[in-house]
Amino acid sequence: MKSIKTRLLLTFILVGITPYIFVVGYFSYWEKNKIIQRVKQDSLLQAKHAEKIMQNALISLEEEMSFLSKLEIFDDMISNDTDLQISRLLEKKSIKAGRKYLKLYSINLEQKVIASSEIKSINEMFGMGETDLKKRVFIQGSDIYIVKEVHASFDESHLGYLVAILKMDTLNTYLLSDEHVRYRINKIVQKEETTTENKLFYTGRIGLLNVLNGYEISYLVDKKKSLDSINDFLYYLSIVTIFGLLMIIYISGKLSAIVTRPIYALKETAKMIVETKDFHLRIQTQSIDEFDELADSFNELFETTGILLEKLKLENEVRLKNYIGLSDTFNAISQSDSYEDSIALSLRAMRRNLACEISIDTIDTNSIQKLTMKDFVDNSEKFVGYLNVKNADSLNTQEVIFIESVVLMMKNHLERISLIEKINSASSAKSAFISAMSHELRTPLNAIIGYSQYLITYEEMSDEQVDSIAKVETAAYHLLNIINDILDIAKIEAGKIEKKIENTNIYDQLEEAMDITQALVEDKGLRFIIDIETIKELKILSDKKIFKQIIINLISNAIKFTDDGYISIAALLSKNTLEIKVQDTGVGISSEDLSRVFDEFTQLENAKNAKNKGSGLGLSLCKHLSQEIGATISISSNGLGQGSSVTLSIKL
Amino acid sequence: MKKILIVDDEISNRDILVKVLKKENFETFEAVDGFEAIELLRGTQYDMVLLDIMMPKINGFNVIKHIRQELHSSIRIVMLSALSDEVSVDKAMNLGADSYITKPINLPNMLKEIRSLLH
Repeated sequence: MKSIKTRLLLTFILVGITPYIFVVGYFSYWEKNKIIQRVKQDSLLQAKHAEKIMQNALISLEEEMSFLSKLEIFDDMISNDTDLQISRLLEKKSIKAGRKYLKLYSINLEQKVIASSEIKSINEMFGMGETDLKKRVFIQGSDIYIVKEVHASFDESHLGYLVAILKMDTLNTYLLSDEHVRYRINKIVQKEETTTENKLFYTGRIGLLNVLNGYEISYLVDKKKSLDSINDFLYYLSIVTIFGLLMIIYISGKLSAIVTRPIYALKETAKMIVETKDFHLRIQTQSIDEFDELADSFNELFETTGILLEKLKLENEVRLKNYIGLSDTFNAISQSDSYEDSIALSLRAMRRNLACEISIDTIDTNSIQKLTMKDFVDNSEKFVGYLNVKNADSLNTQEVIFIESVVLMMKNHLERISLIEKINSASSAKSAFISAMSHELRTPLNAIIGYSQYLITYEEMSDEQVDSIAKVETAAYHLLNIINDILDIAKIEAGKIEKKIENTNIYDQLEEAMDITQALVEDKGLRFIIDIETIKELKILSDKKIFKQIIINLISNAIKFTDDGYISIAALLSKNTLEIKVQDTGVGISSEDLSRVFDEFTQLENAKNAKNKGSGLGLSLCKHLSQEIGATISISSNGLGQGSSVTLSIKL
Repeated sequence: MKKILIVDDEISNRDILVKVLKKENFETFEAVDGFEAIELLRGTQYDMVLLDIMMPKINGFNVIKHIRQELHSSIRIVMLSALSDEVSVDKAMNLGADSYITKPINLPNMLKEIRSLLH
């Protein structure tokens, strides 16, 4: 992309050079031709002048000849005597004319020279051959001949001729010639112009009409010399042209620099501001009015922007301070655990950040808000207090928002505390209920079981009586089991079960569970099949008691529903799972019942017929306990009478 | 004959224990709450106390505390309570009880325990 400076420079150069070239072209072509034309005209004038001189010279010569021919002295020519007198006259005339090469002859009709300006040629035949002497003036060879008939003064008889021979070369003596201009007389040819020599520029013609028809005077001008002035003119013109062009380029550069300098100043200032972020920088004004206005506008823009930025910065600082204050406050409030602390912290935060008296009271003095909160314990809207602020009108929007935020946070936290109180009280109520249930249900059972055992052991009774009392005792124990299971589930659901996750040797726990249930197995004439040797050394993170209780429950359940056969306990260790499988050869479960055996109080049809009734809680309790130690439990059966298999999977 | 003090606010519970322990040749005494128990323990030397926990006036835990800390007695203390939770068991044992049997009581097991403690 071309810069403004370059464009301006090009424009200036173009504007400067176009007329200049026009002027130079005009002078170097049109004016040159004009000058040449003028030189030609000058030469022509000179030639015409020369012709005039020539013509006058020849005419006066002819008149002289005419005058001579009429002299009476020429009557002697009849006598054909050589007349020295005439010769002397002619010689005198020749000398008088001052023309060394002018020869005068007086010849008779037989063309015998009877008198001459050169006496030695008298009596010689006039050397003209067949030349017609009747012509007045003619040129032969390089001589001009002027002939006049001589008549006798008394009878007008033709006596002879008077001849003047003028060497053509001598014509120059009549004309002013120098080394650059020469004249020549020659026959007119049809050529318009003749350049006889290269150096000769122009051949002019002047017909010597009156004297010499068919001849002309050529004047020859030195072409080089005559055009010297033009060449000089062109030479100086070219020097001036080059100098002028250079001047135009130089001035254009200066001009474009002057025009663009303010724009560069503007650019530089803007760039500096961007780099230094210093909005105090100003554009230095120049002497160009329009630029002054532009610079003023920009300076104003910079100033306004600077002020705005400064304002923004201050606002941001305030905002950040508020934000930090607010988050500090929120942090403090959220960590307080009583109503009083929350309110006190909120007040302290507001007082620290605002320059006004602020308080929460039970009476309304300058309240801007009546504070209430939801009390979750008794589900009511509880009055907290009036938010009294002195000079509340002086608060700005930011400060009002700050107060509102803190108050909202405080209110939320008060409600949270209330909610926690409610949860805690609900939880403790549940615990108390479980505890009471446990105690109150066991107490009457103690009497039932106690008296039953006393009667059987110490009193004399018939077999029938003993049998009846034994049934009471069994039923009481069954009820006890149900109560225990219900309480266990309730405990788990209330989150009251105590867990102790530690490194647990599963093998040991399985052994203990089997020890405890050994008697029951033997009582029913069953046996254990054990395959747990592979995990003898295995320790996993678990709760010993919960794990053991699950296994005991599963074994007890299996015993309950199995009348003959065995109960197998196997451990299966894979890459990241430990599976404990408790399998029996008992009544089994139909496929449609499999899905609901873990539901509470589920007793299957076939199980109801079994000798030992279950509470319907055993497997449900196992499922709850499994979840407590992060294990999953599943059951499978090949169908009724095919036994069942429960698998406890523990992720390693 | 070994003297055993039975402390329980429930009359049926005391009745069973009295009946069984007499049959087993123990001399039995009864108290209906912790307060009465402490009164009796102050005046008489017993071989063992069978102590309930949930009782009016003074509960079982406080009775253990009184026996061990006020009377400095090393009398055998067997807790008989419907509280089956670990917290209660640990608390009683830590206060100085010798054994903890949960209700409903299995009489044969209880007699076994009493005999081994009085041996």
